[in-house]
Amino acid sequence: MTKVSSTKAKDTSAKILFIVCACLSIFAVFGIICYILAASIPAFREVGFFQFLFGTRWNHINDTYGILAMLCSTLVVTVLAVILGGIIGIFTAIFMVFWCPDKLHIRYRGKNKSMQNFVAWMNSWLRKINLRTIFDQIIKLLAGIPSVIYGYFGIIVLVQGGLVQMDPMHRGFGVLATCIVLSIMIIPTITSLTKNALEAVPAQYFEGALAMGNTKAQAVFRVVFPAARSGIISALILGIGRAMGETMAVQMVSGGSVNFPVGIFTPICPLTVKINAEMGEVVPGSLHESALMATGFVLLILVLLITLSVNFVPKEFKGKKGTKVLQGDEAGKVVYRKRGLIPEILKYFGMICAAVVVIALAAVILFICINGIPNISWNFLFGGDSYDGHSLAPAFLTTFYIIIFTLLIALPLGIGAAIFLNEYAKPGSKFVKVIRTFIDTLSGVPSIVFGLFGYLFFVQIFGSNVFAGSFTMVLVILPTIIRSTEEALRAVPMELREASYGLGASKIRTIFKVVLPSAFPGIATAIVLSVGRIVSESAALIYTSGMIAVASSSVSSALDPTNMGSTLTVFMYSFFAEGLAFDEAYGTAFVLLVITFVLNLIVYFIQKRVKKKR
Amino acid sequence: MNLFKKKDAVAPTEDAAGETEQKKQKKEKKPVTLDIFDFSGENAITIKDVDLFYGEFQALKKINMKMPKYQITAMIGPSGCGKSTLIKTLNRMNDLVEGCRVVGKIEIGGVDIYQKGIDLSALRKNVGMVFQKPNPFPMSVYDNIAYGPRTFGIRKKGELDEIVERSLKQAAMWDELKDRLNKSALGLSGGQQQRLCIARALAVGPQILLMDEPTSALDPISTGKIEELCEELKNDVTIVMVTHNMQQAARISDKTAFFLLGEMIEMGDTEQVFSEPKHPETERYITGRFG
Amino acid sequence: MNKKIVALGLAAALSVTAVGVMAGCSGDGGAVATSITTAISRTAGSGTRGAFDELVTGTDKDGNEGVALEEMDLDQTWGFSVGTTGQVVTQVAGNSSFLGYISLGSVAANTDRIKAVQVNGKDATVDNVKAGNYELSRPFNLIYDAEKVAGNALASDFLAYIWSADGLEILKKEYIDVEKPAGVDAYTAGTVTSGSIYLHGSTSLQPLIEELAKAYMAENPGTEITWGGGGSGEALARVEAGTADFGMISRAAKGDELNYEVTQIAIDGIAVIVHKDSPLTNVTFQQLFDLFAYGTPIECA
Repeated sequence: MTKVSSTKAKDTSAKILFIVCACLSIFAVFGIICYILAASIPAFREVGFFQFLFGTRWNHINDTYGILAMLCSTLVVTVLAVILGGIIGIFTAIFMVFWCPDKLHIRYRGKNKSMQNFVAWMNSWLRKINLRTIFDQIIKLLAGIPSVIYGYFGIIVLVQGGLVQMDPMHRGFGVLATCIVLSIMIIPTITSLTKNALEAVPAQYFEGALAMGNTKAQAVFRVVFPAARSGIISALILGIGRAMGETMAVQMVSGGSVNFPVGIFTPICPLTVKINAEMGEVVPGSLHESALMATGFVLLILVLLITLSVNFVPKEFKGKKGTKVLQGDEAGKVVYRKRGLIPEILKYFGMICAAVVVIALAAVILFICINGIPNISWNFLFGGDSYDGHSLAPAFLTTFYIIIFTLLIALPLGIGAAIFLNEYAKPGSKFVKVIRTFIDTLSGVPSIVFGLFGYLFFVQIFGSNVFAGSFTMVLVILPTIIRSTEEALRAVPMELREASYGLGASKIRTIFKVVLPSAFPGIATAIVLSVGRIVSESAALIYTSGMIAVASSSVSSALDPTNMGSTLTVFMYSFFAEGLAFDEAYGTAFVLLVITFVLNLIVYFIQKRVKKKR
Repeated sequence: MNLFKKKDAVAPTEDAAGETEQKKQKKEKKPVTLDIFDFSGENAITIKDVDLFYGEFQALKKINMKMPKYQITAMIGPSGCGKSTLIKTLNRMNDLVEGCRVVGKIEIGGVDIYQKGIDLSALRKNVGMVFQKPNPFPMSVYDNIAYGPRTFGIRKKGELDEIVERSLKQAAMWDELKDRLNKSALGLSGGQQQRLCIARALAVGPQILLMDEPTSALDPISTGKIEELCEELKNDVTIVMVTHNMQQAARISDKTAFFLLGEMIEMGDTEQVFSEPKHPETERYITGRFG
Repeated sequence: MNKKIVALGLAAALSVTAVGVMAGCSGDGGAVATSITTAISRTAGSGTRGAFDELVTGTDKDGNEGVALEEMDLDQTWGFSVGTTGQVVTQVAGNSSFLGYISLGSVAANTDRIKAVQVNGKDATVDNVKAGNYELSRPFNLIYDAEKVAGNALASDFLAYIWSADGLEILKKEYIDVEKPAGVDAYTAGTVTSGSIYLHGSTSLQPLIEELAKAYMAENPGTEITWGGGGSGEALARVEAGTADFGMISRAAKGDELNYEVTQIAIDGIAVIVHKDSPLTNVTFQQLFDLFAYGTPIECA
């Protein structure tokens, strides 16, 4: 029976295919490091490696390249932003997990009949709102807003709206502005990771503390929080990586001058900003270009080292602290401290932090809406080749193309890798650990470094167009797809696979007919998240799919994917660069906001359906 | 080729050298194909000197059993005694467990299923399994039942319709489900889901049906229905059942085997085992001294 | 439960306040500054910067040698550099203690936010530039591969269009025209009906090119002209690589750019701009030099 023996061959070749998909991350990371290093070597050689690292002047007219001031700026701003954003993020997460009420309810004890009816009516609406879910969505929305929008918010609201007054020189830019914008941007990352870490602490610790007479605040801050230590540290480390790699928003508020960060209003030029500012004007093959690549290389290594250090955070919440409490050592101290003051204060601090987060989001959203909605018109959105007004239509097309091409390539590769990791590989094997490390590494690479790699590699192959941009974006979203798909596959109960094998089906058949369809909601989530990432990405695309000047893009040229094109975010960035079309910039920002919101909504409904089924 | 040869299959032909088809194929080292099983003998399953190791730990010790055709053989014993492990050797489902090693011979339909080159697909087509927790696929009732036949190449809607109807009738579910074939199987109650799983296993026409504590997750009424079903089914199919419930074993099985700590202590006609057990441990278990 | 209501109410109240702030926030820095403290320079790739530095910071009014461009701190502590015309406008429009310089031709489009001041007592107007009174001016040049353009019907036609009657009319609105160079033919409408070209480089040239291109395409349907770029420094790379048909630079060509055909299409003034409400009306070269090279503030009264 030919069917029988060919299954074996199919099985083996499929397995090989999946292994290749999984190894792609390894190739990608090595490829990126090697290519950028290769492009940096001329600079390292001519300028001298240590001169490059520790030189303080950057002047490309006479080829002096030193990144010390920029390196310091990056580090200082990052640390400050992580402190600020970290504190707010962590406390917000604590609030969300422990004190965020699920349901709102107004209590009215008065006698007024109509007030009673009114309150009852309000309550019937309030009952429908799950505050915790709303908070969750707020965080997700903040995470999804493109950085260009944060940049605009930074300039208009922070700098020109407030910091300018505080600055004796009346400029407003610099270290402080950059810190604030960066901390707003990393709050979502830190909050969601901290939330996960807190929720992973076994409930017994919390309950044990309560049973011993602790107040809730005491139990949270003295038991659960320390137990979640390692997860929180990981969250902070990842926040550092994210802050270091941020380009667009930072560029708009940092001032752009190469200085040491001596004062809060000193204009600075973090590493990412220098790369982005000068990449457009380098002569290919020049020392200047190599110096920028070298800057990118230093940034890459720095971020990778930090991201990888997460692995060394000890995972010990089989807590010594926890057992101490349960064993009664600390219990003595804990019981006699009646209404611990500090935890109570911290609790209110948590509420304030959560409020700050809500305000920040409200501010950003209102900023965009108030300024953006007046500029939305049918012509603006979908107008054709009319050169009179700027139209978003070409940007929509380019964005759409990039989404489609990227997904077409990344989905099979990512799903294949996830299938290998979850269905074929032995869970503890070294090979799996190595692959996972590389996937994590890939997810930490700053987007501007992806842009540089895309410029060095994909643009040479495809030219500067949608294809180069798509391939670059594949690398960006691959980790997301692999992770989400893996989670989804893991959630498929083993019994389903057993049932399928028991009926005589082969492994391939089981995967494709039973496991993947069951995992579909998770995969759908991965797709939507990826689309969100693609839409909000700018730095990686400017040097690959191109940045067409606002005035000159047209629908006809955008229809051809071999032409350069700007996506919506890049379009918006070019408005900033030109500065001549603020209204259109706000309009674009509003469109981006709506898209982000809709995508989040879709994910929410997918998850809801999944929960219902269970 | 008719996948659903009934029990009165043609006996394997012998050629001049006195070797049967199947021995010839074994010599040629081809993968054992579907035709190969021969259930004409008295015993459906013969287990000879089987040891099973999970890594260093020995879970089964020198098991020797014969399970007769068209009868229900029950395996009883306290938790951890190895009965689930043993039943999973019969369709090689414990291949899925890391570090599992089987020594010895298990003959099903005259074929040693642990020999090299055996086609697992074919084996599992002939030896079906029903699990402890009902595990219907998240598909329609129809697709659940059609899954097995589709695996083996049956695509025509007419044939599939026939198989679905036949399997559901065998499982005594046709009247209940004939109007909701295209609805999701997950909407059924626990007992219905389990009977659906039985129908699904029957759809590929197995000669042997393995049931690993099939009613432990179900309510008494569903349990009763399934026990009734087993008594019907044994006319066409050999049933091997693991059960924690001694009364169930006493009710429906023809042969009972008692296991303890990886060894089979005693096996015999159910009536005899329950009224006059030969070994003291058997008696202590049956009378509830330990559980 | 009550505490939560209080906390949430607080949050809501703060949000509403934030809204109010936002609505009132139009990006204006508040009271108008009385002195200019910050110079907005351009990144080193900008042609406008090259021209400005040569004219202003090369030597001061008394003939004292200034700091050579090569030795200047390209990013200075008391000011900072931005890349494009648009960014200068954004910065200056948002802060009345800033001063920057942009192409004269870009001023008209932004008079709602910024204004050009007199330089050495002379108004920044096209006439003054033509007459030589207004001293800050520089050429607009296109660089290109002569052979390639000669072989590209649309490219040579567009080049010719600049010196056509309509082209000159457009150009003379904000810029000064120059003589048509020998290698450029006369222009006839409607001869080219297809093709596409791309111009890359200086942001200072883009408003002019945009107007010319739109008018050209209206007269010659079926053709496509696009443009882009972030500074004169980008022009050479694109022309070399062949990804742009024309490079746009807003200063005299230099270095490797001279390997290509350089055609001057206009003379442009460099306007010194401040916030439209600033009391500043005039600057001298010396004041500009001191501000840009040493950070010395300029008093506006």
